[in-house]
Amino acid sequence: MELTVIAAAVIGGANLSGGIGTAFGAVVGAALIEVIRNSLTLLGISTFWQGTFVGSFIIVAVLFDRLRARGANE
Amino acid sequence: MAAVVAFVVLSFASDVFATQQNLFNVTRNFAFVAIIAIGMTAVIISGGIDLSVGAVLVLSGMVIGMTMNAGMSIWLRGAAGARRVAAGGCDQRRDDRLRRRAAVRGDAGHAVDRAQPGDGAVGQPHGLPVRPRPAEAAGARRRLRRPAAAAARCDPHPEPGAVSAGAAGDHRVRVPLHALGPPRVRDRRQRGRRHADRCAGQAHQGQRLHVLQPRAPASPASSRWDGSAPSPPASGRAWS
Repeated sequence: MELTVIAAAVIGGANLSGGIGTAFGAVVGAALIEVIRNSLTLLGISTFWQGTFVGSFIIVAVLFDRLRARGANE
Repeated sequence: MAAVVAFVVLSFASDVFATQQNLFNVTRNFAFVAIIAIGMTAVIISGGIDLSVGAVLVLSGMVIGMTMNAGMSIWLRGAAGARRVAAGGCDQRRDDRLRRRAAVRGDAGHAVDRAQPGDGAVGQPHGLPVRPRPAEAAGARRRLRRPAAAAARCDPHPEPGAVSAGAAGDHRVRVPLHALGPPRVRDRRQRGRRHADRCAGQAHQGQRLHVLQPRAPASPASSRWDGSAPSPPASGRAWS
């Protein structure tokens, strides 16, 4: 549950180091996470892999966030 | 945006996704995550991460289930569940307060793990206070700005039962250090001076002791500002 919730908040635009984030973004991130988890089940992927997907979502979201911040700085 | 794209793509990729039952399933699972993610966003914005959401979710669910089983009303159930969640938040706040107090003392308790190399707590001979994290400092500033609390702290003539911590003969009331908030400056004396500025020249000694002058029990006719307040000690600023 913690992993999913943090992933939802981060996908919704929250910055893990603090200061940035919206409640609406968290809801949108939660929707995305749940849709994709549901689709993983529908596509026949084992539920044990869901944590892997959610964790990789966090990494990708943080990566995008960093890239965007770097683009804003330069 | 990405959620909409994923939704559209999946409804084409899988013939089961867009059925009513599946969408109901998705939204039901989504509600859990969304509600908690809103609260988690607030925690993450303030610079932390709450690892107890799963436990709090299950515990509040159990409390609500048991109260439901006992036949209480829905509002009472909600209040009981919210009480549980608030208790979790209080634990968090108390933990923050203890850490901040340790940081003010400059001791090596909780403060070491969050002290930055340039912060001046670790390895400093006098144990200068650790600069608080920005989120905590903001919270403390908010508290300082709260007019009632500030007035209570700066009030030289408190109401007879308001702040009655001092002994009868000794009119100095000890103000707990954490009530002043975390230090915004390195030097403690400087902080005390700043606090004195805020109190506009009212009684103030050091940083830890307020000199408070308790009012005599007010007669019902006398209002607060009619000049019946006891004058400061005859020796003027003898207390400073």
